[in-house]
Amino acid sequence: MHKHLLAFVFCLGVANGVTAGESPAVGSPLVTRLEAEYQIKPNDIEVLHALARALMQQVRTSPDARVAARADSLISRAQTLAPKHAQTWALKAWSQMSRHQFSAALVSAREAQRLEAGEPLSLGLLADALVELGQYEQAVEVVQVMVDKAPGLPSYSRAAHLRFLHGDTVGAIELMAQAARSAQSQSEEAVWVQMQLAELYLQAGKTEDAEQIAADSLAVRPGWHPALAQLAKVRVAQGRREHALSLYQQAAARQPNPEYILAIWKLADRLGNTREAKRAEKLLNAMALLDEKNGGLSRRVFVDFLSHNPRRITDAEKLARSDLDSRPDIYGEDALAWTLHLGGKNAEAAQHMARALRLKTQDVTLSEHATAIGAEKITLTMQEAP
Amino acid sequence: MKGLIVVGSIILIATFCAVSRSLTGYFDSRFDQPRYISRLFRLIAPLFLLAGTASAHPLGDNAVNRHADIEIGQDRIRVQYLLDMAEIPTLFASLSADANQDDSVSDSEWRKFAREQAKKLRPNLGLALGETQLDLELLNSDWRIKPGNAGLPVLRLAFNFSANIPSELTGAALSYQDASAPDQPGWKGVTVKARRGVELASSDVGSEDPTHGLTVYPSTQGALRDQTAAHATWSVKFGSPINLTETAAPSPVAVQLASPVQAPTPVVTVVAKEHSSNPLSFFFLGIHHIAIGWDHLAFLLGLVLLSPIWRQLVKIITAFTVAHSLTLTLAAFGFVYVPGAWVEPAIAATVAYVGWLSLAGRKTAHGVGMAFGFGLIHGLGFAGAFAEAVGQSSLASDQLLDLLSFNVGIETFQLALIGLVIPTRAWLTRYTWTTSAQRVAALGVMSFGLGWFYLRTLGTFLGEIV
Repeated sequence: MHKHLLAFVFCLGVANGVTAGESPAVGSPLVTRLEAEYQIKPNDIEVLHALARALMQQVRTSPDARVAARADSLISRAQTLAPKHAQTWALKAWSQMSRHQFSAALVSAREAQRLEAGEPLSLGLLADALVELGQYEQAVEVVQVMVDKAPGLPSYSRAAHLRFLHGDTVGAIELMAQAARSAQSQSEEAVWVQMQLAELYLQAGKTEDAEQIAADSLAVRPGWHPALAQLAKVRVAQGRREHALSLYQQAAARQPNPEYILAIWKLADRLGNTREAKRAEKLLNAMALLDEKNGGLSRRVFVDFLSHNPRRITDAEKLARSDLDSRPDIYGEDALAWTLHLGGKNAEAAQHMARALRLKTQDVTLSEHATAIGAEKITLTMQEAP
Repeated sequence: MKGLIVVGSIILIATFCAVSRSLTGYFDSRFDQPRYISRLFRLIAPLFLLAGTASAHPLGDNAVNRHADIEIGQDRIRVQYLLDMAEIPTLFASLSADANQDDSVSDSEWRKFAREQAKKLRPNLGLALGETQLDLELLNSDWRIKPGNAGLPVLRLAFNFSANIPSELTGAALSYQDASAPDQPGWKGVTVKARRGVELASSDVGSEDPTHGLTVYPSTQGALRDQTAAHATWSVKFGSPINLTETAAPSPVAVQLASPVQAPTPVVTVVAKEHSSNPLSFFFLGIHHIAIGWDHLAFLLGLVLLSPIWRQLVKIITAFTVAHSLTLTLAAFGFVYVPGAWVEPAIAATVAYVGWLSLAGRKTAHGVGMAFGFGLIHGLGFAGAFAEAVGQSSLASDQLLDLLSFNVGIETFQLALIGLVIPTRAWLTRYTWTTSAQRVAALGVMSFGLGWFYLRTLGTFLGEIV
């Protein structure tokens, strides 16, 4: 479910993993210590870089916009103090990735690599940007370099994701499990990789394994919203929709992500809970306006949302095309294909679906959409697809 | 995106100019005004639009910012609590507030929602003197909707709590803790001030709110921990300093304090002292307040423009003076309370109205009654300024002299101004352009009144400044 979000979640998760071993866990004193050190040595670029990295680590886990703003202000300062430093460009790429500025992140990561070939943070971000931009062959080459040079969580987790995208779900699970084993126990990276592993288990139909991981994560971090959402996905797969709705509601109460609200809307509608569905619909309509103002970070969620309303299918198509322009990966192709199909444009939908399936990804949502759009047309057009 | 914003702004300004052109066309035909008045109106009208342009919430769409302003008086402690919700929390709030499920939240529903929020908040605010927990009483709650990002509203709530200080606890250590929504993102701040008659010797937090009532936020150039001040435990001691330590409660942002004990041991000391009156300083305070109170000055100018007959004008000014002295006194001693959120727009409306009356040539048809009625509103505004000056929402009986001095200061400046304006105006009547100049002045008064009204009801950042 909502597999098109996997890439983004994964991207941020493993970008974090690049710095495994020296990253602060939630509640660690690293940021405080570095802030204190930075006050004493404000022109020390190493301290500045370290502080910006520690803050970027926390951007994902903290819903407080100040963390990202503080990190950005430090990265801007780094660009003034050390414009020729590879770390400066790597951090800039990281910030751009978190804002879904994938093309810009690619440029920054390449600049970091030009300044220092093999620099691990920018290498990982280069791979992530390539994946988001649908340049999978180049991404595989970069990740292969990572695996060869520095086997470990950052390289294994990226390689596992690429295996999954290329249809090797079993191999992806194996590698992701290896990545999880290489992470520090109960560290932030470990929990994130476990979430990716649970997602892969879910894709492979191993709901019990996925459930176990989500439950374990919740035992370590009670109320952690990504784990709540992961468990909710498991419950949906098990047909326990009431419980799934409750879990999504808990996750949304902690972090009102549009994807959680969308899941609530769908589940409430399916369960006949019209009041909750109406409430979620209102929220999504308003969130869609906000998201566009903020650069369309959750655009695919709103493509999905709008495509459920026949009167807004044109808006959904427009949004999906805009999303695909900036993020031409297979999930962008799938989102547009599905919207076109719902709008009755099956021929064009089949072409985009073929592009979405070009890596033979074994994704549940992609498969469902491909079946609905029509396997024959897809098979024909796949031969023409790039 | 920026291009779209610029294009959108140009279209909006053009639309507003077209509307203003129609309006000025109406005024031209109705009052035979010179064309330059129309041009002036068209020039200033778009400024109101730009001033009210909404901006993104400074701390993210999901932030709920909180600020508690604690005022320690001789016999009671007041906690003024502000909640500033960004767009998404406001959405959730509006869904909760819409009790009748009609897809819109009425004023009464918001009012009820604000009261309920205050009731929910109260148990989370811990206020103690020594070991004794004080019972915070909710005095009032207020709400305000403002334009936010993407055309969505943002909600501001204001609560006033108060707790009496038992006489046996005078001088005891005071501690305050806000335990509400520890995981919610957003700014959290606390300030402590001493009211008149009380001395705050030291504190681990400042007395000045850097966010100016959650309207302007410090930049992220500094360390994040400097911006999170909630979850601190306070100790206040009357007479001698005592130690105060922060609690180990989690920080509301991801940046966690390494160890709370690293913070310098903060101390808050409050010493009760005898009240000493200083009428002269309050006299000058009154002068100062009206001298910088542009809305009051604009209103006075509007009154002066209403009548060319000085005797009639004296009646109007007297009615205004009596009325505002009345409400100033009643409000200052706590007999009347009207929230500032209502008073300030009302004052702006009175300015716009007198400007319009002068412009329309209505002269003084109902001048005295109107001046008295509007004076009542302006008096509430003066009372707010006086309360800010003395740091108390209501006065003790021995502060009557201070209040009188403040009012005399206002009247003195007012009379001096009118004494200057009336002869000047009489002297100017010999010139043919005087009527046109008066209309320009009236248009100016009306425009400023409308502008202030807009900013005080709908305006965002700039509105807060004004």
